Amino acid sequence: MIAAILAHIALCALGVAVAATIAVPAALIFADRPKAERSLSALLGALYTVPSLALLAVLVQFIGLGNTSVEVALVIYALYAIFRNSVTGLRSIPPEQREVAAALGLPRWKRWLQVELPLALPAILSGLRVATLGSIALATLGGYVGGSGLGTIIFTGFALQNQSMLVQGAIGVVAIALLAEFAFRSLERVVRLRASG
Amino acid sequence: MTIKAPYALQFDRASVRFPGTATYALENISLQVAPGELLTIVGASGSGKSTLLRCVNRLVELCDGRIEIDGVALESFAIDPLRRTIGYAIQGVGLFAHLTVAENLALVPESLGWPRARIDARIDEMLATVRLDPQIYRRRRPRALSGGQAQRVGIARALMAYPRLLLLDEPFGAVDPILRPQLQAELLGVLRAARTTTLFVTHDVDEALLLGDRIAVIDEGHLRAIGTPRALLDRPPDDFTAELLCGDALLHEYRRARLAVREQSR
Repeated sequence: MIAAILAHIALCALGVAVAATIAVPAALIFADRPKAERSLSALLGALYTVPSLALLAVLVQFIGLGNTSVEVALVIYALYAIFRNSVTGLRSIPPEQREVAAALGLPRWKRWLQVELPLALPAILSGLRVATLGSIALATLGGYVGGSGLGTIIFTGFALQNQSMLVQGAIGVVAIALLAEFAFRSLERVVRLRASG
Repeated sequence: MTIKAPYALQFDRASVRFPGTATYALENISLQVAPGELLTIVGASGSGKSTLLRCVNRLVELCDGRIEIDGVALESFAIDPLRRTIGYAIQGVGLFAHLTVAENLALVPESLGWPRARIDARIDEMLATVRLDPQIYRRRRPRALSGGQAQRVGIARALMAYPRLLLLDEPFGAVDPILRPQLQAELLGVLRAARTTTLFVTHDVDEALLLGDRIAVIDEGHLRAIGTPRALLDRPPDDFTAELLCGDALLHEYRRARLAVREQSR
């Protein structure tokens, strides 16, 4: 059980981390380009609405059974929430703060790292929280396509009509979700305080 | 004051028109600023005085004419390196809330690649210059500063990297009127010591008269008058300038008397 919980956490953490690595820089690039941002949001939104089992089935066709297909699905689903929240956070930075950062002659990367990202961080964390909770739920489906994590316990319990395994798996998923929710909420509170000085 | 070429800053028929608008925000502005001079720019809200300031650090681009810094056309400079040589402070200061006072002050020197020890020493020096104890204020966040303290930090940040020009856009606009004269006097002291060429935008005529070596009067994007406070108060070149700077007879006399006191104290 512990091994399955750890595998589940690792699966979700990796998926969200990869999605954040793609979505946050994309938000930094596209937040100032409304037309391109709308197109990208529409694309990610469309991917987000694809039923998860259907997406997994397609991915298995190309990648095969196992964790890789599950990871790719997790990344695809996490992108939308992280990207949208990051864009919203970046756009909510007061214009005068952006202007002062530009007027000081800070290089673009320094404006991103030292001004824009810290000020948008509460919203970015909010996106990460939503994406993480979604991933924790979605990762259980990985058990259906040969992935690791609590999904294997749940699907095995389902196949064996073993109520105890089903409940154990479900409780594990809920516990991880509650833990993640608490951790992100706490982090968001700290970051929000810091961002407001 | 006598202006000697080469000018620290020169506007030559500079015009600005914002996209989608029919009228000029600035039209045919020509003026020169001498090295070390403090030029106050006064005008009503929306007159174009902040736009004039923002042309210098290219937050706003000209549609016509040119601006030169130390005889070099503005567009010859790469934008970010140019801006690092121009101090900028605005009303409400624009300090970054998530950074400490020291981190705010370090932003430009870090971008210029100064070594850490030099940055730290300069932070202490600048905080002392604006009468804030470095031991107390280095680690404070902007939220823990009073309006006057935040304004001092804003000025210190603008002066951190020995700018060739200083642009101040109504820096005391949000400051308690009781504290304002003290901050104005402090600013004059700091600028005299640093000998930094400064453009100071204000809509407060008394502030413009008190601080400026010369005053530029802007109205609806046009330069109405430019001259020393004494010259403009004694011989305003047009009705608009006379009305703005002199007011009624009583106010005119009051301002002349205040100016005389200021001239004696210099």
